[in-house]
Amino acid sequence: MTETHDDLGRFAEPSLYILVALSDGPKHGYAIMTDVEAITGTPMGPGTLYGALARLERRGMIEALEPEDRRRPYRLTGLGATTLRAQLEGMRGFAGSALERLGRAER
Amino acid sequence: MMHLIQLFPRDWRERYEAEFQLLLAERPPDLRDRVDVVRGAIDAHLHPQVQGEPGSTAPGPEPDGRSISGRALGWMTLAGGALWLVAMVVALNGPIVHDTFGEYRDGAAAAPFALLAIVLLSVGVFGVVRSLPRGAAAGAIGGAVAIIVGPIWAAMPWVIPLLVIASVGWAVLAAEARRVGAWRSLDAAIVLGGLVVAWALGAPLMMGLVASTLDSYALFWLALTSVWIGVGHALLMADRRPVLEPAPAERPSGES
Repeated sequence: MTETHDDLGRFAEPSLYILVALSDGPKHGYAIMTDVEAITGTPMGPGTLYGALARLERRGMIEALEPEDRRRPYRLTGLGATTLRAQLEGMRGFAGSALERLGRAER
Repeated sequence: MMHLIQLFPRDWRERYEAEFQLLLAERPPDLRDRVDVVRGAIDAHLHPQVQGEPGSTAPGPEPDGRSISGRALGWMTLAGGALWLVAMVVALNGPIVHDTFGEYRDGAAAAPFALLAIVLLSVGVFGVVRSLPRGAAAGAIGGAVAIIVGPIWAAMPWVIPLLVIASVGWAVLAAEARRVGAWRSLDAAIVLGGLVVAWALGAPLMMGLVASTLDSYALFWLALTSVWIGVGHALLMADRRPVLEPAPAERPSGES
C-alpha cells in the first residue's frame, strides 16, 4: 500500500477511482468525473483528474483514443485491468480478514 | 477560468488543453475546483508527466522511470553534503585569532558554505515531506521544523539548541519515512545512525565534558554529513519504486 503512495502521492486514490470508472468501457474526462462522483459520493476536481490521468497514461495503464467532437475518451489497457484487479483483490483480502477478526471479537 | 490553464507547462497544454477546456465548459468550476486546478498546475511543473518533443502531442516515456524533480532534489541535497564538508575544511583551517574572547580558531569563512549546505538540505527535506503519505503527519511536522530551524541555526551557529531541534526534526522525518515505507531501511539507518554518532561525540564536547580538539569537531561534523547522504539517496531512489504494480505472476508478459 505504501508502495502505491510512494510514487503517485496524492494521486494514488484518484487513480484507482479512474481505473474503476474505465473498467466498464471508455469514457472521456467529464464522464469519468461524474462516474467517480457516483461511485465515491465525492467530486473529483479537474486538476486532480488530469494529474491522475497523465500519470496513468504515462504508465501505460490507460490509453487515449481518437477524439470524438473534441472530447478524448480514455480506455483501460491490459496492464491497467491487471493492475486494477490486483488492487481490488488485495482490498478484498484485507476486508475479508478484517471482517473475520471483527466477527470473532463480537462473538 | 480559462486563464488558469496558462499556469500549466507548455508540454502539458499541448497534450491536454483542448479536452481540459471542454471539461471546464461542461462543468463550470466552483472555488474548490479553481484551487484544485492551481494545485494541478503546480504539480504539473513539479512532476512533469508529459515530456514529449516540442510540438509532440504524445506523452513521452521516462527512460529510467524516475521523476526529474525527485532526482534533481536528490542531487541538490548531495551537493549540499559536499558543501558541508567544504565548510568543515574551511572552518577547521581558519586563522587563530586573539581578542577579548581569548585565543580561538576563527571559522567565520565557512559560514556561507554551511548556510548554503543547510539550505540545500532543507530543499531535499521539503522534497521528502512532499512525498510522504497522509499517515506520516509526525514526519511531515519533523521535516517542517527542520526546514525552518536548520537554516536559522546555520545563520547563528553559536546557538546550539537550534541544531539540536533541527536534528530531532531530521530524525523524526527519517524514522517516519521508514515506518510508512517511503524510505528504505538503509537511508533511515544512515540518517539516524549518523545523528546518534554525531551527538554522542558532540554533546560532551559542547557541554565542556571533554577537551575540544580539531579532531573531535571534525568527527562531529563528518557524522552530521550522514543527514545529507541519507536524504539525498532516499530522494534519488524513491521514484524508482513500483507503483500500482500488479503481482508479478499477473503482469501480462507483453506489457511493461
